[in-house]
Amino acid sequence: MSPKKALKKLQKDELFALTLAMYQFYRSNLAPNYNSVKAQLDSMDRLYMNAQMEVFSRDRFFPDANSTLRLSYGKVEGFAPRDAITYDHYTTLSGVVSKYVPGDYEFDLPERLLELEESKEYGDYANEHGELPVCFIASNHTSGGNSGSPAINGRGELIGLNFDRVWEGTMSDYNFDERICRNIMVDIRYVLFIDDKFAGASHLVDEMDLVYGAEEEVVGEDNIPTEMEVAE
Amino acid sequence: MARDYYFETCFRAMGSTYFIYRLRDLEEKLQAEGAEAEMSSALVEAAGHFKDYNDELERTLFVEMMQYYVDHVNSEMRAPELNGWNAEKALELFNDSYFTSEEQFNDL
Repeated sequence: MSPKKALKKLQKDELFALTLAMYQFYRSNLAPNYNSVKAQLDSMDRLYMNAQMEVFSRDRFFPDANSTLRLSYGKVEGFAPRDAITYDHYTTLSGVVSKYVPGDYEFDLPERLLELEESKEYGDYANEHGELPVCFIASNHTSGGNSGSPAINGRGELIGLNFDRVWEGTMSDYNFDERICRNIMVDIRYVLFIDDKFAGASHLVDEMDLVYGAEEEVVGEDNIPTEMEVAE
Repeated sequence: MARDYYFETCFRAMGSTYFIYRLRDLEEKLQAEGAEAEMSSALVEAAGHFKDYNDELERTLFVEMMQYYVDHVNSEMRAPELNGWNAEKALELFNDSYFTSEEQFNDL
C-alpha cells in the first residue's frame, strides 16, 4: 500500500479521528488546569506536612525516603505459585534460545548470540553445570523504580541487577507474600558474557575485579542470602 | 477526575485507543518525506500490538469503557465529538477502524 492511499484511508477512520480529538481536548482543556493546580499543591506540601506535625504532635510520621539508600534482604529461591507448578530459581541462555522466533519483537535474537550458544562459548561465565545463567529470582521485596539496583551477596559482591518481579507477586506493593513474591535479576555472569563474548568489549571486563571460583557459594545454590541496594 | 477517567480509559484499559495514541503522528508523517519508511515502522508497531490481541475482548472493553467514560465525565470536561455517544456508535467505530484488526491495519 502506498503512503498516499494509506493516508486517504486513515483520514476516513472515525476511531482514529475520535481518539485524536480526545487527546487534543485533554491537552488543551484538562492538562493546563491540572498542571497548574498540581504545581500549587506540590508547593504547599511542605507547609501542609509541617502543620500536620504541629497539630498531631503525638502521631508518628514516616520520613520521605526519596534519594536515600534503601536495602532489601532476601534469599535466592524458586517458588511454587499453583498446584503442581514450580519455578526454578534461574534461567539459562539455552532456555532463551529455545524460545527464539525469528522476526518476533520479543523473541528474536542476534545471530552472534545464537552462534555463541550453539558452540557453548561461555568462557569463565558458565556455571558448574556448563550452562550460562541469564536471570535468577529471589525473595527481595522490591517496588517500582528499583530496576537497575545492584543485587549483592552476603560478602558484598555484585551478583546481579534487579529489573522485574514475577507476575504472581506483582501485588507486593500492597501485600508482600513470601511464598510467591520474587524479584527478578539479570545474573552478573550474563552481563559480563554479553560485554566480553558477545560485544567484544573484553577491555572493559579487564578493568574489573572479578571473583572467580566462588560461584557455588554466590548464586549456584538456593537459599543464599542476598542484599538489594535500592536507590530510587 | 476527568483527567483520571481519560487516562484510565484511553491509555490503560483500551488497547485500541492506546495503539492509535502511539501512532498519533501517522497522518502527518504520511504526508512528509520518508513516508514509506514510516509505513514500515507503523507495520512493525502493529505487529507488536496485535501479537497477543483478543478481538472480542477489545471490542467489549471499548464499548463498555467508552460508555462508562461518557456516563461519568461531564460533557464540558470531555471532547464534544462524544456528544450523543451510544453503544451502537461505539460498535460501528470499532468494527470499521483499521486500528482494531491486524488484517485491516495491514490493508491500510
